[in-house]
Amino acid sequence: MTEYRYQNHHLFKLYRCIMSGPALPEVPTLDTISTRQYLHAYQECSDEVRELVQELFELISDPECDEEAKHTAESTLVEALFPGVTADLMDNDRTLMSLAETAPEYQELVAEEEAFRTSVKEIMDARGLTQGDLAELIGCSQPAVSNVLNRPCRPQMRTVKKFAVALGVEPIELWAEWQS
Amino acid sequence: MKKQIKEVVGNYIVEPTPNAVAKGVSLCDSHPREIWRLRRHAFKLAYWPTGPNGDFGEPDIDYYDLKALRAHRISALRIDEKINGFNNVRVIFFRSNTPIYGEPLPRIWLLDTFQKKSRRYTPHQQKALLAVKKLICIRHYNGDQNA
Repeated sequence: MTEYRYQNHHLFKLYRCIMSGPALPEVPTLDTISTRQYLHAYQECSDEVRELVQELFELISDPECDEEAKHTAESTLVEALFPGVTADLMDNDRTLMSLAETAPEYQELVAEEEAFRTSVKEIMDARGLTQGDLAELIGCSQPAVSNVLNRPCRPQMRTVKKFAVALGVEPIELWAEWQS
Repeated sequence: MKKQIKEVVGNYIVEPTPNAVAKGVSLCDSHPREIWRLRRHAFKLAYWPTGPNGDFGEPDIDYYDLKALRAHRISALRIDEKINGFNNVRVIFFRSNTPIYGEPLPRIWLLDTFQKKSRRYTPHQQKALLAVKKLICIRHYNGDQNA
């Protein structure tokens, strides 16, 4: 139970840190909500949600339930009973994400990804390799190579390694922060 | 979300649940760089292929179905990059078939994210993940669990 509060505490800390906006409201947790609030929220629920709430309570109160499942069940229970609270949380999250483009940490990640694509293209150009040639060396389809080189996505590290092996270079030449 | 709809990319709209957001932020210990690193991997799911043969032609989306939840279209995305120093991070997602009214694409819902420590998903974990999906279907698809 404290874990859920802990998670949200972190989320709010993040919002405050980045948005430096007004203080955000406290999120109720299973610890801090009164029985009356629970009963009221439960009464307001549809039959479907009540059924789900019962399932979640059973899961949480099962002594054999592992921590990971318990955390998921607890946050889903709060979401089921208090949709307004989590709606606010998600609105804040979307606001936070909309600020990504101006955040230096985000730009650094995007720059890493662009540097990877640029390095691969430069090596391909220098060697006269087409996307089809590279795909053959990697063992995948040409559209797959095209996707990696043209979509603004973050590659998996194993993809970086596959490209490096196919091009005969060290992964660090394609990905500056490479850790073997 | 508004931004995503405005600038539609890929085949799906990727939407995190509050549980996934809270767990992700906790995993990243609130470091913005790590949160965005995690997000940029997860949001790649927007490019999930829709072709009839399910041919990925895609070396970069590394996923597997959760066996017991396959019928519910619940799968796990492996992230092959350390997130806040953690290996073996998984993002659990549910792939809907039906667009929500007024949206151009169906959604992929991010249900949960965590560092996977054991090989198997426990029955309790599976029940909890299914509960997250059920709530989504109740709230966004008129209770249609086949949405």
